[in-house]
Amino acid sequence: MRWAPLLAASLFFVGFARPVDLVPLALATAVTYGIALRLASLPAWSTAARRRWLLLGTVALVGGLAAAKYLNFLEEMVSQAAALFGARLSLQPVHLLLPLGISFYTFRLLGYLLDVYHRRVEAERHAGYFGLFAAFFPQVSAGPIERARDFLPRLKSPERFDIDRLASGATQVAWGLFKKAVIANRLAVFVDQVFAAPPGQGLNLVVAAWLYAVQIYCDFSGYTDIAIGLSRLLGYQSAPNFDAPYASRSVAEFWTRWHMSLSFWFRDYLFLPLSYAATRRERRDTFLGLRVETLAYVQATAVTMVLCGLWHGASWSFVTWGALHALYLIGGQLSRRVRRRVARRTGLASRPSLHRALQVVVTFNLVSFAWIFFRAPTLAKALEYLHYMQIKPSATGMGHMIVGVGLVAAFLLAEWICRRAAPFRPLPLPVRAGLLAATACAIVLFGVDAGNEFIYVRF
Amino acid sequence: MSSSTSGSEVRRGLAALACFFVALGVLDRGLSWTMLALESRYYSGGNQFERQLAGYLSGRNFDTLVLGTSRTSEGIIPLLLEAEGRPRISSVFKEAYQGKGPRYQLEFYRLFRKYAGRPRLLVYGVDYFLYSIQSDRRWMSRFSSAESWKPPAPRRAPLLLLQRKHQHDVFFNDLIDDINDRAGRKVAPATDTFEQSRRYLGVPADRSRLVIEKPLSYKRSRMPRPPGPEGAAFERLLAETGADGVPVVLVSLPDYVGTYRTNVELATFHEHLRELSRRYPHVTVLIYNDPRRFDLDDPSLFIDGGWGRTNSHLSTAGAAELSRMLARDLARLPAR
Repeated sequence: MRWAPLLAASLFFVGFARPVDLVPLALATAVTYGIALRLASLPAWSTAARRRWLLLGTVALVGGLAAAKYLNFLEEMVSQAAALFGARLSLQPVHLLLPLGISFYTFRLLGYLLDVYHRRVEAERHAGYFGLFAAFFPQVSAGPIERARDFLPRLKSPERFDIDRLASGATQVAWGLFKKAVIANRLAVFVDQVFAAPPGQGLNLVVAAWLYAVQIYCDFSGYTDIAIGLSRLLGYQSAPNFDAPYASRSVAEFWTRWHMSLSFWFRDYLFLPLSYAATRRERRDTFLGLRVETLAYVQATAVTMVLCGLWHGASWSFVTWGALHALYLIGGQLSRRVRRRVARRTGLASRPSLHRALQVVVTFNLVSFAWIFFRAPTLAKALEYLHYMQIKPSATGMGHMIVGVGLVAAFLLAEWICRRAAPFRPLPLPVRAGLLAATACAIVLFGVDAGNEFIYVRF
Repeated sequence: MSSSTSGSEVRRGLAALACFFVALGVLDRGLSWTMLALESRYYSGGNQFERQLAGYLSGRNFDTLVLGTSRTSEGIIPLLLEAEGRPRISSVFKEAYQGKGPRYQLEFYRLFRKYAGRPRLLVYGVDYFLYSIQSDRRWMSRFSSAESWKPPAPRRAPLLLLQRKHQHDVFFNDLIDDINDRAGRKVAPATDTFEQSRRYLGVPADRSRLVIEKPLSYKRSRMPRPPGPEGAAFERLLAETGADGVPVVLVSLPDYVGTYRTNVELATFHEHLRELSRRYPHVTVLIYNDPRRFDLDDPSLFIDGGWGRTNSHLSTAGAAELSRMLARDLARLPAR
């Protein structure tokens, strides 16, 4: 019966600020629960019927998300398209507040439905556990996007009481709060200032882009640490969502380390089926001089990354961000041989550390450049930002920039130490308790209460 | 799990909790004490200011003193007042900047009077939010008066660090502002700062920082009621200038039209200023924050402000226009 108080707590969490947010969650959960049971009851050979139910469920879930999130963007696109033909459409914008966590639980439920359809997981009959799977409060607002086949069994058999687990969970929560309150919020002071007024900022614009990359990482991974730590405190293991993404040697590797639950979701439910369908459709080995597999990769990557951008937000700047990453991935794939040849000819291949460092620096800069489009409120503002970028120091904001860079250096050192110190874990419990107290004091003393909500909660 | 195992787990847990709270208490006290020591050292190091001010004022004869916050700093150009205000005004000293509220200005007036004598005229740029201003500790530390920079009493909280959170945040922000100033080479020997302030002409207009289009909704601002944190210091300044026989002109500087409309109790504020001039006969009020007197609609006269913003500053062009108008109006005031 452990699911009952947890489900109640989860519903309270979702409905606390705006009770109406419970409605789309309840509807999405009920529809998915019902359709999954229906799919499970249909025999494997009734393909058409199963497909119809899957389509119904997909349309209901995606339609709900689209209605909540993309109505105004669709209106904007329709107006722009009409303007191309000389027609003027003035459509009233619909002011809808995005229900808490809708992007996350929609994908969680859609993944579950697809897994049931493909018989990768049994349909869950217990409504209580299923409701808890959909609404689990540590994860509902910003992930991780757990898979039913992994998380539902864990929900049903939580870990036993264990002080070390509690200590580890509490430590992770504290570290997550530290990343958010001390690092992300402090960096946000400088980044927000620069993004608000790009003219005349010169080199600040370059530094702010780098610092935003760290800010969004600390913000989102901080949230994830809190979610995972809280889950551990409650006795549930959560899937990791980050794995030192800025240590990636390529953008392709970046997407195996950044927001892993989302990128693997897109890989498994969109990219792979699209690639497979494209290769099956094309009977020739090559098309327009390119291997069919390469073409399939290009198509699937473009669609997946643009939709990934759209998932984050309904605006052209997010679409551009997604498209940029598509370009990076496609360019990286198509240029693999050329880059290997260049590495051999320049001698980089025989200097693996230097080669690796160069790859990491280039990847970080590519990703930071794309973050400009993610951070800017509109595409026009992002382009304005790029327009004013230059390697000319600006006198303004130097204090915040110096503090920000210092903080990032200290943070990277701390993360490096934590990774290297793994063989020496666990420390004695009293020592860990002392470190936890030190983290709490640091959060209170150095934390910036800028009123910034977690970035990914907005999605 | 056996009862002895669960019992030992509970004991371990309680021991860990005890360690946590002991460490928290020790670290909280230790860090709090360290922060207080650092802040005391930082803020009490500013009393070279009086010596530098005395040195600068020696041999110079300023007949007009201009005080205020950043709106006055941007909005009133001493050189133009001197050029257009003769013979009434020949030499102007301006002491105005962000964070220099009434408490600061009272202390500064006293120092100025001590080393330069009583000015023949005091111009004070008053802001709509006059009664919510709190002077920066960084500026207040310039005065040797022991209590002038001490922070207000901390609020109650379980941890000392939480109690003094606001105070520590102000300290960190002051440190960062210091780095900003030093990196931008704004910090120079005080004489240069005083001279820079005299010669400062403002910054060009910046449309990108103005909220020109009226949004569907914006937050309106009510006038903070007197006395506020520093209203008593403001009244004290008026009383001391009255006792010294120094005429005071309270100037309500123009706001960009969006700000003018956002500050919905401007009429009340202006009436309050007139009430002050009735109570203090040496005080005159000049109101330029009025579309009949100043072109509040022209974005080229402002560098920021707009709908939903309670604060706006004049550009170089705006400050030039205001300073000329002010100089002419000051010249027409009856001499006392």
